[in-house]
Amino acid sequence: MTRYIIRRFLQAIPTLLGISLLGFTLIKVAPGDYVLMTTFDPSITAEARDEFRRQLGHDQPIPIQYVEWLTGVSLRGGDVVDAMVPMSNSCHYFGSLGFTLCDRGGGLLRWDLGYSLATKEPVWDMLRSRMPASFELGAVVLVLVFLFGVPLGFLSALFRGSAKDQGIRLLSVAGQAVPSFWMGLICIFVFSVLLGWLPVGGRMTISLDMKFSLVDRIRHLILPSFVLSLAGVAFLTKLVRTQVLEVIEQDYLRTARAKGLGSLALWTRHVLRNAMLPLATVLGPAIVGVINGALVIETIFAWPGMGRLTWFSALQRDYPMIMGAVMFYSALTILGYLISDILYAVIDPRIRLQ
Amino acid sequence: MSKTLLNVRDLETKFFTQDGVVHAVNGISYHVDEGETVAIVGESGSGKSVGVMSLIRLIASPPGKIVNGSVVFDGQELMDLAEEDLRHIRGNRIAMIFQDPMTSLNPVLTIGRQITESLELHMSMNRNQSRERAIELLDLVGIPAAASRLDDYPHQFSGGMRQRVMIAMGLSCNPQLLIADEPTTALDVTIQAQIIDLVDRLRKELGMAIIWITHDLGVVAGMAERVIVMYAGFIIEAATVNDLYAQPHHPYTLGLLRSIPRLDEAHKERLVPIDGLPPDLLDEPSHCPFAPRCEFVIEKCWQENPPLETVADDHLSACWRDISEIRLELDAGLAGGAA
Ligand SMILES: Nc1ncnc2c1ncn2[C@@H]1O[C@H](COP(=O)(O)OP(=O)(O)OP(=O)(O)O)[C@@H](O)[C@H]1O
Ligand code: SF4
Ligand SMILES: [Mg+2]
Repeated sequence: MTRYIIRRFLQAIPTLLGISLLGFTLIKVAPGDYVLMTTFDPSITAEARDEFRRQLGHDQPIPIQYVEWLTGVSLRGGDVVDAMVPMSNSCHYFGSLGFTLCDRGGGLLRWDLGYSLATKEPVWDMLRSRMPASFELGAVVLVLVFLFGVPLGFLSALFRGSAKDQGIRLLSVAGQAVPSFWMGLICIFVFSVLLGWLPVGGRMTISLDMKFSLVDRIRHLILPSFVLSLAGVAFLTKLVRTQVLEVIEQDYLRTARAKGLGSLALWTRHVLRNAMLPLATVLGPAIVGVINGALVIETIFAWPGMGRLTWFSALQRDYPMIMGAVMFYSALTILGYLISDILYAVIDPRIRLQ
Repeated sequence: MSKTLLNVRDLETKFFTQDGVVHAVNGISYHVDEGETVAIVGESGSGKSVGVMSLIRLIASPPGKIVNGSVVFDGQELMDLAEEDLRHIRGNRIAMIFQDPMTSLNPVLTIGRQITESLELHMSMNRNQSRERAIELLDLVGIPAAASRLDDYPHQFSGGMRQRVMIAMGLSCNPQLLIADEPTTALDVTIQAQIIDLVDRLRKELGMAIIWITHDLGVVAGMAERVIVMYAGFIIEAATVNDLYAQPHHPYTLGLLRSIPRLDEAHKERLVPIDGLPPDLLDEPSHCPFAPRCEFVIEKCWQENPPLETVADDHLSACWRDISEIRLELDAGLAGGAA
């Protein structure tokens, strides 16, 4: 088991590198760049923008920029040591080869996500300061998804074909079909604007003393967590329903019935455990779903989390910040899948991890 | 004359499906005496499994429904019994073992747990007692190092060993009746023989009655006292093993017997399968169900379904034709073929 986990971690390295290359390229080929997005002042000339880009190194080819982000080492043609202020003293001109190498410091390989272009703060610090809010929302959503998805799926299967089942299935289809931003806006409009029951957004009511209030926190959590968990609940309901229906068709359930077991033992001991097996495998995808959903939902509900940070960084083309978020999310996803696989092996005796 | 343990009258089970009503079991009547082995044979789809599962009302409903019949077990009518009371009979006084030991055991529970759950339920044993008994049972069915295998999962056993586990489960509460639904079909021949020997030995030791389902008449010969032949949800012939082999009365049974390869004969006879397809159970049976495939069919066979009638001592058959005529025809046919 330990060896398996170590191997999975090692396998994650090339995966993450691949993701970083792909992510970087996508950000760079997307229309618009940081300089354009942040210099709207009409008095700024095109030349001034180009100079700004040159200073940031954004005029370089994408591979060079990528290597810079990855390793913290800049490569330039010719002898440009003097032009590379303010880090001229860490530059070296290789005369025989005709290029200049500068060590900017940092870089992913040195475990450094760099600095945000917009705030000049370290990317990691910015991510870290948003994590509590994101994890709070994410955890509540995951709990809600399993708390409602599993029993609803069970009920649906138990009463298959009945009106209850039809109702649950209808809701489940709707839950997956309705776009979350639309649902979010509707919820804000109805519950916050029209009825005034719940806050429009944010994580807590801003006040002078900023005293912690659980009730206030929960009131802020209700709408975003509800909207964010809808798709997951819908998905899980459907999955559990299918799974339960499959399990009750199995021969071993007939054996269990032939033993004279009552419905309680039948359902908990024989159906539940077998139907739960695939749930372990959806943990990974569930984390991905929550992360993806959070981009939109945190933005709509002004939730001060990583999703909202990433969203605004993307709008600004603040690429170190975006890349930082991408790397963090990817690592989290890989971890989620790993936990899924381990869980699966723990509950299904037939699976051996190797 | 020993005491009747199970008495089945006019048992009728149908499935109400989207394609129509499947007439799976069409009013069958038979009995099983205490300590006796009765074999039910018939080809696939003839209603053997549905017939025995109906006895303890294990038919999935919907789509299945037992529409008629009486099942008296040890003096008690099972069809009127409340589900709760019937549960005390299932697995306890009437146990079942099933065809495919690969899929009939729960993959995520240890075999120990799967045995002890019956013991805890029906024998009110505690954890330790039931584990002790489970080890005894595994020992009894010939699983080596039984104590150490209790916490193993089904996938850690071979097919034959799994079927032994199934048998141990079936025997756990000392049932009066063990229903074995083709317990050896999924196993290879040598293992089949071992399992058959095992069950036969256990029956003699424990004195239970057995209903043994198979579609192989060859398996029946050694272990059963009586044979019931089913076709299209009907019992078409029932007799003692010896009578059935020596004096089959129904053309279908004749066909079945002719299709068994006789290893003891000097020249191996060609396997004679019965021509034609098994009947479509969606049709309401209004004629002899075997008529479309029967070599000896007459006008009347298409007009009316023959009732199961006594043709000799302890011998029932459902056919309009007289066996002596059939034999004459058969001999003539064979003679003609040989000439
Ligand atoms: N759940 C069900 N729904 C519809 N039809 C069913 C169902 N279960 C059984 N049947 C039908 O009932 C008939 C009898 O089936 P049964 O399983 O009793 O046959 P069998 O004699 O045991 O055959 P085999 O030797 O293959 O086990 C078959 O035609 C089958 O299609
Ligand atoms: S009743 Fe007729 S069709 Fe049916 S088995 Fe007898 S001879 Fe054949
Ligand atoms: Mg069967």
